[in-house]
Amino acid sequence: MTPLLAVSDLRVEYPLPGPPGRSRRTLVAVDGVSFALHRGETFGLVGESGCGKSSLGRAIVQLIRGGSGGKVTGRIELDGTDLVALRSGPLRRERRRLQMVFQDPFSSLNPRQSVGKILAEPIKAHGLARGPDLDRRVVELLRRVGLDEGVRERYPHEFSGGQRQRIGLARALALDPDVIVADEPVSALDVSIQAQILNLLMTLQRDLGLTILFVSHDLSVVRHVSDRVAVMYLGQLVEVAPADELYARPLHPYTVSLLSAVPVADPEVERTRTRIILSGDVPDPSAPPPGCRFHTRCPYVQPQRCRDEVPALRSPSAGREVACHYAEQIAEGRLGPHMTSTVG
Amino acid sequence: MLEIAGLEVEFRTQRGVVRAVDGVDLALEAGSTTGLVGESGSGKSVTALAIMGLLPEPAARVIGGSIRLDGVELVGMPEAQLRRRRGSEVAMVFQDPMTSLNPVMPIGAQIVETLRAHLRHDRRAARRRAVELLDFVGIPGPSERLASYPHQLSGGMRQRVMIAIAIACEPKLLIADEPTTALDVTIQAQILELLRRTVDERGMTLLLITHDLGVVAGVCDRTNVMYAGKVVERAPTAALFRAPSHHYTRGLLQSIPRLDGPRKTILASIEGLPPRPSDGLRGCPFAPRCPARLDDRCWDEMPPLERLPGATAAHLVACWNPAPVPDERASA
Amino acid sequence: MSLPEAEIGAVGTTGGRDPADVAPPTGLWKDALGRLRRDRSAMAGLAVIACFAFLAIAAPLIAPEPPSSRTYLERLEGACCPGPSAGHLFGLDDLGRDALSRVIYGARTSLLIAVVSVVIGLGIGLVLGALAGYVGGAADAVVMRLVDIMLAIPALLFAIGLVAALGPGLVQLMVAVGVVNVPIFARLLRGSMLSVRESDYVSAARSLGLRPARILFVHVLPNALSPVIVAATLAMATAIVEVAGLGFLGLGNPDPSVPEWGSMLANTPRFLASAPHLALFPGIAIVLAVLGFNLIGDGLREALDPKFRR
Repeated sequence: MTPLLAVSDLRVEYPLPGPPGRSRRTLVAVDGVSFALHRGETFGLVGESGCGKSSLGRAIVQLIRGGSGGKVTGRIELDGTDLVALRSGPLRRERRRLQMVFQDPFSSLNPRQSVGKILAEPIKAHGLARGPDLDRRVVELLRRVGLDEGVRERYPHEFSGGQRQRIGLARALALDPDVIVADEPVSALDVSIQAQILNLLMTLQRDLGLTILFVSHDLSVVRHVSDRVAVMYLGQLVEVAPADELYARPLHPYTVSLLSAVPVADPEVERTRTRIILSGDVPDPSAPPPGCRFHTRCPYVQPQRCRDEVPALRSPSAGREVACHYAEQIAEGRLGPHMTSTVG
Repeated sequence: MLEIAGLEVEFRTQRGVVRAVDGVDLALEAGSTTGLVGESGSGKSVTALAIMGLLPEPAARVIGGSIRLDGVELVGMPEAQLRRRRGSEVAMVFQDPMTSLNPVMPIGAQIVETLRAHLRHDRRAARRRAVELLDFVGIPGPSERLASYPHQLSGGMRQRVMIAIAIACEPKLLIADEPTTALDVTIQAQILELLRRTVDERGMTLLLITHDLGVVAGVCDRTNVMYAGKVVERAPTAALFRAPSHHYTRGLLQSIPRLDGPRKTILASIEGLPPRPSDGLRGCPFAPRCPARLDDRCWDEMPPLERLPGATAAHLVACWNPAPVPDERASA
Repeated sequence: MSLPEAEIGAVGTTGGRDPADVAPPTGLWKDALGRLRRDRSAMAGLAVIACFAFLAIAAPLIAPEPPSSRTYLERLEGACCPGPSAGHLFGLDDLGRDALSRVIYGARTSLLIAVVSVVIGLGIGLVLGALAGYVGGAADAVVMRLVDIMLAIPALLFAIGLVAALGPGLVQLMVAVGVVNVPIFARLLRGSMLSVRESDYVSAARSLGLRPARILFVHVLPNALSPVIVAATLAMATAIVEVAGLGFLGLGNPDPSVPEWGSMLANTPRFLASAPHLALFPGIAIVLAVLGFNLIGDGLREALDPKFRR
């Protein structure tokens, strides 16, 4: 089955401030990422700040198109069409199929446009409907996201964060996209509202057959909504697996540490769990460590190989990918960590 | 050692007067770790600021209630006396280390500043102590780091510096307001571990304010849940999570996806919107969203915070129709 | 499509109190206007400017006398200068002209110059700023260097230079003062646009495939204009002072029949001891007008500030 979206060797770099010209330094936010999205699945992308997940999401939606905004190299193929190579007319048409839901509900809506206009604008711009038909579509969009049709005359600042996210979601659906990139869609919302929006997202996906790339730092949320999950660290994928397998049997040391650091809302679990607390901070993304980028913080780091050789993303078993030289040894218990800390 | 009774804090805004904290009681025992959990608008941060005497005047005022630290009443205390206590008896760690550290002062100077203000150290002694503190909070190369500026440090390191400043004068009470919210989860684990270690080794009392129930589950002995300016449930943490009684607490716990729970299910969400402090409802503020609402009582009267029948003595809930304690003996 | 009951609850309606039910919809401009109306000092400033505007428009009807005439000189009977009296509330100036009338007519000139020069400055400055802020790249670099050069010259000297180059005259005066404002508006708009361009809603507009022109005029510009509006109001205040300065230096409008507050001050140093009223009333007029614009500008800055974050 050919994937709906195939990303190959994607590289996103941003120019760093400094003298222009060949000597200008760049920050490579995404460094050679390849993966595929299958139609109808929710693909979770997790990582901490600076790992490049947001840049990856934005690159896929074609928001990074050169200049000071960043340069993209590689291929992003939607049903076989390489989006990176497209320009003007054809690009505009393909844009309809990929849309984004943004993180901050307070800056993702134009404060000077009424909700009705926000939703009607893209539909009109692509000539998909006019007049009463346009109006009907706007009302339908609002209904799908759980908002009353009367909100069309209102302005974004009159709504709460959760409601604004619904409006943002409605806008993303306006052009009937195939793929939605949700960039931290609930991170800025109160906990009691997060569940509402997550439910909405899951329901919409099921009803509309959407394919969703769910980008987030929140591992619990990603596990809940995703079918497959990829873990990113400093611009590279370190592990890809079906969601239940990733969380039950993580292979990459970073994934293991990440999971052990996530607080669980259960005092018994918190008291008895073994935590692997990483030492040090995330390295500067503009100067990543040589070899395996995680080796400076890895509890299982082995001399020589981890520092000298970049581990490739390989498949130790069907459906799973991991970028670690020693993944199998660690999984089989033949290699132990240098440092663990039991909290209790 | 900290007793808050009937605290009420008002804000004067363009739209009128808003009660951010509406009758809050808290009692912290020396050496304990207590959590204050709530979402935006719950009044948890305002409570912390009130304890520190850092409410933004003249917009905000304590209009009622008392805050007693080791028996000394803080409400109404003149600023000069409050200042003496800030840093030396009660200290605060804020959420965003980028904005709570002075960007134009080296971090060493910021620690020394508080040491000299309260403990009257001379410069050399203060520097030595600053290096000790940086070492304690886990900053590598502490003596070289004294001269670093905040922007040269990562978020996690800045938060450690904040903690160092806060504990510099060995305060009895440490208030941490969302100390890890702005940090990555692996760094969060480090900082929480540091807070725990600090409080244990130095015998401090910790008041941890957060919206993250997972953090509270891992750090706090007792937890208070706040909603719309009031404490709606209070219990030892284990009891709160095992048998939550207030429907807000229950709703919150049920709506959070857990690493060890089911996947891809529709989450049980709390319907409606979080309250805005300007709402000024008469009865229970959670009534509009409560699935167990009793139609007349809950709208008209605010339930008092009382012992939950059948639970441990320390489990209190403010609800006319609280969820009963599950009968564990039946499952034995 | 109908959702089962449980799911409708789970998806979440706004449940109970809906903030959108409470008040009629207000766009951001209307909301700002409301806040401005509640700001007392801004309203005071508006009142002052409105008074001056009224004086300016109704000058021929209100002023006791036309501002200049050959016959006035005789009134002085050689002695300069009579102070305020019943017939002449502000007294007479050294050519026998009624000072009150001249101050009233002066409002016309000053307000006209203030408004027109700012419009000229905005016209050019906004285009340059938009070019630099939206197109970026080489255009940005070129425009900004131009702006830097212009900003390096002190405003008043710049204006003097322009007037010297363009020659005397009302229009030239307005152009000179207007051009001095160009770099300020250009830089302001550019900065504002650069930050608005990074907003998520602009990214959303791009990903929706909207055309660049539409994004510029519907999404970027309206949101980038707020600081420029404030600056324009304050620029009117400085324009009045600059014109007054030029007039005081003798570089103002040479036509003696059109009074201007600054020119009225030009001759007064000689008479300060004997006839302080000559400097006092035009001076007060300048101060009040500048104050009025400043108060409005400050009020606008507060009203347009989008403080809607929870």
